[in-house]
Amino acid sequence: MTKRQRYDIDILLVEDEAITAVMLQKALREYGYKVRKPAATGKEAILRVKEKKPDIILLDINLPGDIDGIDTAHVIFTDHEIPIIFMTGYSNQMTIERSKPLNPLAYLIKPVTVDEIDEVIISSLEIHADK
Amino acid sequence: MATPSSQKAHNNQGKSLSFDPSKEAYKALSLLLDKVSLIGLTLGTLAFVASFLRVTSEGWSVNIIADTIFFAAIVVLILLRKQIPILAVVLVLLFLVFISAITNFLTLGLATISFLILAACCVLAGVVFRIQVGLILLAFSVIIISGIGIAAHYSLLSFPVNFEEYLNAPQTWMTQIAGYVAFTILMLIIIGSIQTRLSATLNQVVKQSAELKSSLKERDTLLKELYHRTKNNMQVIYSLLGLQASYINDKDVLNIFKDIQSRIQAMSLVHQKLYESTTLSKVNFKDYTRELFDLLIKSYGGPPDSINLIVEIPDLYLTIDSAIPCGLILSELFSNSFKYAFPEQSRGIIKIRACKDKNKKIDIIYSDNGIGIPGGFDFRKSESLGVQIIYALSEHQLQGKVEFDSSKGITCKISFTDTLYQERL
Repeated sequence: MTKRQRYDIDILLVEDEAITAVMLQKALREYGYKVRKPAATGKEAILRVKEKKPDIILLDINLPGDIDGIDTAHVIFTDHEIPIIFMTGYSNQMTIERSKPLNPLAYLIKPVTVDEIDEVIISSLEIHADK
Repeated sequence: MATPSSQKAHNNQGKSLSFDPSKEAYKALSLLLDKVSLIGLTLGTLAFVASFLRVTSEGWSVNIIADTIFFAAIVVLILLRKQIPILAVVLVLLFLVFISAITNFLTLGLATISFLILAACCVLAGVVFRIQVGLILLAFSVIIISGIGIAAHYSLLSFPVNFEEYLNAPQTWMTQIAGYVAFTILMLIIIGSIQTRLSATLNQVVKQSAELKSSLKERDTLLKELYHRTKNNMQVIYSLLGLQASYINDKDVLNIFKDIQSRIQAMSLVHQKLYESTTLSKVNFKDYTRELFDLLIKSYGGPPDSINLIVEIPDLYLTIDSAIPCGLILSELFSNSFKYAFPEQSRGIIKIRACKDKNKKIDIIYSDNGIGIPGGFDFRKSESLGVQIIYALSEHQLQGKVEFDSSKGITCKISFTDTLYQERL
């Protein structure tokens, strides 16, 4: 996939840890993706989606505030079925089960590299193209 | 980053406080019955044999039948004590002993032993159930014994031996019954008082135990929180270095940043593995090695399948004090192999073996089948920071030994004893 093709993909990054968010945003932009200003909480993410629907959401599971990443994804899913990549510090069976109905593109364990994210996006687009 | 453990802390504490004192007392009663039952069965068998010989020689057929049924029932109850609820076992035992004592009144007359058996029944009922239950049983037994006495006195029933002499003088058996009542009530009062004190002590123990469990849970939660935050902070440092590195064009400086990032990842992974471990104090070294390899090969940009990792490590668990230096040593060795051992995208093998002997001496042997280093290279005199770190951690911190061999790829053997640091948890 070329940088030009990547630029057509609009990513909403939801990550409360500012440095991690800035690093991922910068690295994804270097790969060519269009990455908006990251959201730090579930509520902020829901508002951003209402303002403009992204193509992919890169969503941290452990978020501060009333709702975590999975609850946020459930709320977003009621209006828009947007592909989601979950990120988390620890793989937890219960969390994985909770995220299953959302059919995420991937469930990445932190530290997440941009290579991994890029790989997931490319393979999901290939599957989409095959269909 | 939000902390999952803090969100769950409240629920966990709630769980640990749901400590049921009645269940604990029930468990204690079951345990006691289990211990006592076997002794009781042995003594009961001896008593039964003696009683059976006596009643057979005297020809008291009612007693023979009653004793046999009683003994058989007790044996069955004791054998099935694990399957039947404890209170049901006690209830049936009480009923059998009570019937046996009443049978004795019908055959032996107002014998003292029968009164003692009845008193024991009342006291047992008071202990197991409530003092009031003991008193009700006492009243019930008095009605039955008096009924037998009155029936015998007015010749409404015919009785065998030794009965008439009691009944010729009603005041005698009335005195005996009064004595029985007084004795039983006294015993019930004593038992009741002991029971109240024991119950207060038990409640205190149960409360303390619940508090202890709660505090242990709290300690675990705090410790997990600490590991989680330490790991997150290390990830922030890792990310900051990554961000800073993105402004650097000099390849050598970039490599230095990457090496520092690898060392941070090695330390961060120890905290992640501690967080995930059930004991919160030891790291599974085999899992750690694999995950560190996966992390570092990604950060050095190599395709994950370009290097085959063979890990031959049995169940080896390291405390944080050993895991951090071992992780840093592995990080240096992995980084060296990824950077220099397999040039021009050649495929390679990294093998890691580890073992611990009965004297707690741990050997970790790392080897790659890469291009190695020209003969005669003295690792100890090397100015490479990675090699110096390996020597410092192995010899200074772990108080162990390092051996390098570069005749075929690179092999590094680290030996140390896992007794330098005490377990802290």
